[in-house]
Amino acid sequence: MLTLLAKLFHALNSDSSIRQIALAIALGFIVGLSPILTLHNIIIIFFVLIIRVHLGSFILSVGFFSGLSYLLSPVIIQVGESILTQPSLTDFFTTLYQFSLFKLAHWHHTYTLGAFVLGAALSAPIYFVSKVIIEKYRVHIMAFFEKFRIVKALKASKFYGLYTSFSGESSLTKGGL
Amino acid sequence: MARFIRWQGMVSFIALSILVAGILYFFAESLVKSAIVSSAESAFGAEVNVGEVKLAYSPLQISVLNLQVTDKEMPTQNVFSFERATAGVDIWQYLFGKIIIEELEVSQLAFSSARSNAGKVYLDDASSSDEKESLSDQAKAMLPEVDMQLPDVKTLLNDSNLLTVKATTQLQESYEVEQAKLNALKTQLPTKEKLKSYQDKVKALGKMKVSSLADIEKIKTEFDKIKAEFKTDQAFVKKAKQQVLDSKKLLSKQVKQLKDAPNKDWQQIEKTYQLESLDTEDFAHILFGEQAREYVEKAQWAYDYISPLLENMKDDGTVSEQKSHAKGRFVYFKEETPLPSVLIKKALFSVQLEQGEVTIKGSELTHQHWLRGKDSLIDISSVDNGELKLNSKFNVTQSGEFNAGGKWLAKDRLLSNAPLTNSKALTLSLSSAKLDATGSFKLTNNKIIAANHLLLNQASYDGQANSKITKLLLETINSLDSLTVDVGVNGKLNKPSFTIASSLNEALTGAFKQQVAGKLGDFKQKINKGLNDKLVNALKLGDSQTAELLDLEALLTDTDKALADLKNSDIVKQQQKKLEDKVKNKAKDKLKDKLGDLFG
Repeated sequence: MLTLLAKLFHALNSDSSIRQIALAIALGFIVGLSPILTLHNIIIIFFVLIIRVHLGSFILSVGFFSGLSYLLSPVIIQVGESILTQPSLTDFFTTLYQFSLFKLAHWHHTYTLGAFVLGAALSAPIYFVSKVIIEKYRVHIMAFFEKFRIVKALKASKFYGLYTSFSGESSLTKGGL
Repeated sequence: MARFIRWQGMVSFIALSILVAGILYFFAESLVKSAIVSSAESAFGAEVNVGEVKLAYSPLQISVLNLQVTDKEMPTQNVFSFERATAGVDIWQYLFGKIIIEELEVSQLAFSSARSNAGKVYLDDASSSDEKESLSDQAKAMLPEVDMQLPDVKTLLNDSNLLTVKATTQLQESYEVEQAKLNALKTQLPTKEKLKSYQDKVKALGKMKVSSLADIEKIKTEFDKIKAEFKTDQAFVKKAKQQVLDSKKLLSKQVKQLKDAPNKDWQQIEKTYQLESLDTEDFAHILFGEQAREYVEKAQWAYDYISPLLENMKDDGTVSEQKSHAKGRFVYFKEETPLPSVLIKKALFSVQLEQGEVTIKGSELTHQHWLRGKDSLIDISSVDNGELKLNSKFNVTQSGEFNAGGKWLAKDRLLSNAPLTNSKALTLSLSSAKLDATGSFKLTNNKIIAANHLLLNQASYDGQANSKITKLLLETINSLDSLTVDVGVNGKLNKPSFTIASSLNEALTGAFKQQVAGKLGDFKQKINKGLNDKLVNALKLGDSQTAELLDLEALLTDTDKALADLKNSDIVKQQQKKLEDKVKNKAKDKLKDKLGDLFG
């Protein structure tokens, strides 16, 4: 069972190039900003699992940006509110509102639409910023994390042994593309 | 393709979906339960208990069992509780962000039921209890006023604040002041002797022998001298006359005030001692007003809960729900078959009351009636104890206006142990009666118009009275076999005005007017007699002083006339004429002598 799980994690985490990690962070940003169980989040999660992006970074990114989303909620709601109540966009949204998919995605909700629009608009800058940061500080970050006892303990565990036997090395130690 | 796609991810996605669905399936009931408890606790400010939540998925149906909401003002009681509530939710619309309940059924709904353990209170709302007290105590506060003892007549009449007393004193003071002024002037007036001496002097001038113009000149000088003397006197008389006029004017004004004073005093006494409130209609207010106020308070409570939903309504293409800056909101757009954001298509409540089981049926319950063009209907009925029926409807317009209206009737309904009033002076409760009643109401925003007619048959009362008036009231009400009460409510919900008419008024009128009004009449007679005596005495005093004034006025007129006669006396002319005649006669005699000599 553990072997099977380790194989699965290896498969999901083997894609650890800088671009794959940066893309995972950018997608995690979109997902983290919105309420978790929304239609566009489910679709993004589906794509995150199916295309080769770094899953660990994605999960971390979702966790981090979910916390940020809580702090930014007034701004997110304000963005959604201003878009949905824009008189010039009323006809456009009225047309979209006739589609069940639009309502199912809750894009007529100020928080959901605000988060999606902000997430989509800022995901590209976040992708490029993440790329630069990972590129420059990859080694430093790895060295920083390896100092922690908990990381050392995890590395000593049986599960990590199995995991490295499949991956050869930790994703973070791999060189970028 | 394999460079970008990892097919293992599909397995993970399916596994994850199954995991989430599994968690939701197994923990949904607990999640819904905790969501209901937390949202209800924040809404009601006190502990909320839910026995169990059951979910059925095809079609989606939520059942809540044994819900109890603690009354924050009395934690040993529930605001309401029910055994079971089942709601069939349209899952598709729920996913679109709308709560459409096809059918809601609540059984064994009870209000103010006792709790096994006192519930926790999270919010303390002191303002609402204050308001309740101020409204319900209004009727009670009236009894001590009407029960007040009539004041002592003697003490009342000796009260220096009475206008009659004040006006009498003022009149007396004015008489004294005016009299002093006139007396001072009197001393300056010419005496009768002085007048006589003037007359004598003038007479003497008239009798003086004149033989030349020098004599006339002398008479004129003497007369001018006398004239100058009584000119000063005439000025004094004029001044005195003016003073008499002023005094008369002032005194007649004060006499008028004095005459009006007893009437004004009586009005003040009535007002001070609440004598005018001794009206039979007050008793209907005291006995039935409290109950009427309680019903209006219930309506206000319901309206206060509903009214926040009416806020933030937009009249353009979008319709918004309440704004929440922490969670956001749904913005709804026009659609072919629009649905409200919250709609209960059918609702059925069975309520357990002391008087029996009551069934409440509702349909189209929402706050966005313009979307489907249908009014919300609420029908209440009960056949356990006689017949009770209420048919009502309400709607909210797109501009946020709230309209409601309805009719109700009760037939052969047995009432027992209904407290009517409880105060120091009177405790009264309806032991038993048969009620037949009809009524209607209309509510527009927070303005209410209601008319209700109640007929109590075979009524028996139980109570204690501690004053003559309340004893009389108790006796009268006990002697009545049937009683009608008409209650009208008009005005704003938070400050309504009540008109309460009752056959009790007529029944009381006879007995009350005989005893209470008789006593009051006697009192009024005594007071008025006392005030009139004061008035008469003051006026008597005034009469003698007025007579004095009139005498003085007559004297002044006489003096003034005498002085004027003297002033206008033609004594100089008379003497002049005498001299002229004398000269003429002399000349005539001389001429006769000359002519005699010539024709001799």
